[in-house]
Amino acid sequence: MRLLLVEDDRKIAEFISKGLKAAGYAVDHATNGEEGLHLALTQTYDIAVIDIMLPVRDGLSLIGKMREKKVNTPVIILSAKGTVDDRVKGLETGGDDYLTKPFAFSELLARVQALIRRASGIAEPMCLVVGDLVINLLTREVTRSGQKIVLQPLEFSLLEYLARNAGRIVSKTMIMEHVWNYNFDPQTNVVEARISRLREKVDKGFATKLIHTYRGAGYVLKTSQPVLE
Amino acid sequence: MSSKHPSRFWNKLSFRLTLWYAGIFTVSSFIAFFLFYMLINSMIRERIDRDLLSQTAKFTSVLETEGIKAVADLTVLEAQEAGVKKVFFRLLFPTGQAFSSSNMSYWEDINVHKEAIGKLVAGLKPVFETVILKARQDEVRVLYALIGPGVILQVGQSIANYTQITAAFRRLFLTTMAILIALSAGVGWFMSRRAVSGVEQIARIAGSISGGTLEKRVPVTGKDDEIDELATTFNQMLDRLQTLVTEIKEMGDNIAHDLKSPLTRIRGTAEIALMTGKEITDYENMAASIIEECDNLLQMINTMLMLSKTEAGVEKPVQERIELSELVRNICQLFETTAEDKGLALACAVPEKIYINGDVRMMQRLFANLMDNAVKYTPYGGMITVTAGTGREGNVSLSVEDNGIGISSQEVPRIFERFYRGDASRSAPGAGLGLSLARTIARAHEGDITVESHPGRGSIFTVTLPQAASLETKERA
Repeated sequence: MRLLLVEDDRKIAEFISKGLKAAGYAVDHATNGEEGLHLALTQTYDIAVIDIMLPVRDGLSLIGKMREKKVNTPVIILSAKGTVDDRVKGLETGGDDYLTKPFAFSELLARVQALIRRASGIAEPMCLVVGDLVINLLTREVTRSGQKIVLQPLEFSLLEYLARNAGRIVSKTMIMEHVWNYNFDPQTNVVEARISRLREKVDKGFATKLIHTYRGAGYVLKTSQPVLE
Repeated sequence: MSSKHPSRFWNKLSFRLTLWYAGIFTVSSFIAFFLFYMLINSMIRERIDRDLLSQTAKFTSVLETEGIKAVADLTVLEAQEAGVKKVFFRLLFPTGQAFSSSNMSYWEDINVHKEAIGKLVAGLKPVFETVILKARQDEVRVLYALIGPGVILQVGQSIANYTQITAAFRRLFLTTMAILIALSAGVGWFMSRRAVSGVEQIARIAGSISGGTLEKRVPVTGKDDEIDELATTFNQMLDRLQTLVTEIKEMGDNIAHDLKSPLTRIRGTAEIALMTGKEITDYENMAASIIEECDNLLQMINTMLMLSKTEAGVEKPVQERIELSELVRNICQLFETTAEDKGLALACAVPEKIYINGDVRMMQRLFANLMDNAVKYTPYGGMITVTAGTGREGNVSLSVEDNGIGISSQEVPRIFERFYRGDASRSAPGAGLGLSLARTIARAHEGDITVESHPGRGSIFTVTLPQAASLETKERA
């Protein structure tokens, strides 16, 4: 997968490319809008990650120009501005997703993969499989090594979200947003409590643990070594 | 006046008001005078014309009864009677040639107008004319009338007397007008100065405030007029400004403190890892704790932004219809596992079909903050009860009650302040913004939040919000 990154902040660009390369992407990095546009028009990319505040040519104008030239590469916009107006403006110009700085790298990775999946038109799977764990999205049944696991609706949503991002770290904020649909993180450890319940149901009595905690960063559902390390 | 750029006095409102006042007064007086003058003039003219016509009637009857000789004598007699300098009579043939007249020595410059004779002969109606004698500044009203077959009478009457009257009237008026206009300008100036003086005072105080003294207030005279209204509004604005400035100052201090502590921790953690770190796990721990600190910082910054935006009224809450029991059920679900882990019983008794209008995200935040506190400050084995109901005046009230550690009576008034942290909460996570945000959100939705607490026995936080009409009553209405 080829990815175009247009970002002028050297440190941010560095950690994004490092992380994306580790996740298996070939990353081309441009430091200004004009250079980014040149790359976008001459090369073929599966996805582009574009900052809004760029020297020479700003991100919005770059995306506009890309769309004008019929380059339909999916674009994730990065911006420090997070108001609804800014988002709407970004998406209207031709962006496909919008991520506000500061963001968790795992969130960016999840969105990059979601966009690639959407763009390539891969059909929604019926089952999510992680090792010997099988999550049937239609019947909402969960089995591990053929053994049925009974989950509450919220626990099911949480496990489904982890499984969709299997192998990738999901942060507490991402879980709050995607599973509970709340855009904040309560002070009390509501996510930890849920995860520990889920862990009891999914991992207890099995030799291989599937739910792993990364202190500070979040949680991963994976069989062995994570993709990202 | 006290402003740095003194405006020229013709730019001043009071000057313009005076000008308008005097101008309108002058124009309307002139119109009144003009109409009056025209009326007098036309009345005089009418009266003279009537006199002249009655003279000709007299001559007509004399001619009919006594003949042309008597008429010729009558011209002389009548002129003598009225005064030869006031009136003249002249008898003419239809050709315009005079054949008899009164004493014309004074009226030598009055000619016979052939045109008028022509008109008279053609229309047989009396013809009037005004002749101006420039040489002796006199005006003469002249009438040509047919008094018998082939006999035309030309009568003239001086209207100099009347002209003098109107001229005197004009003079009198102009003098009076001049005095009145001067007076009206004076009165106008005085009145507008009076009206504007309140505004000027407010402007002066506003000027001195821009120099940095927010404590000053504009005096309210108690006259309850527009200026008073302005002064009151201005004072209210100043009150709000002063509170805001104080708050900003305090917040600045608090932010500095609350940003410095995590930064110190982040820096310290990294420094220690660099100096003493030998194992990869040391670095892993450092990275993890830095992420945690950063997330907390970000959370705090976002909360503060939300607080100040909501408070400043920049971000008006979105008005959505929210079903209260659903909202509360979701929040309770969010906290149920945590409560269970802490051995807390969580009871949600919220009746269905109570609606409020507002921003769902903000409401989630409000109730989650209350639940957060209840879970945090209720020890093992405690009980949290969420109840809701509709009250009088179409209000909805929602209470979160716990039997936890409670809040001391000294702390109760301060817990909604920004960054205020009670003794008990200092060790707990958080920045002291939760309750402050809860209150700001409640107030932005035209509601409020109150607390009742007994140390050692627990607290009840009650949020009141305006109730939205339920769908059924809406349909009925």
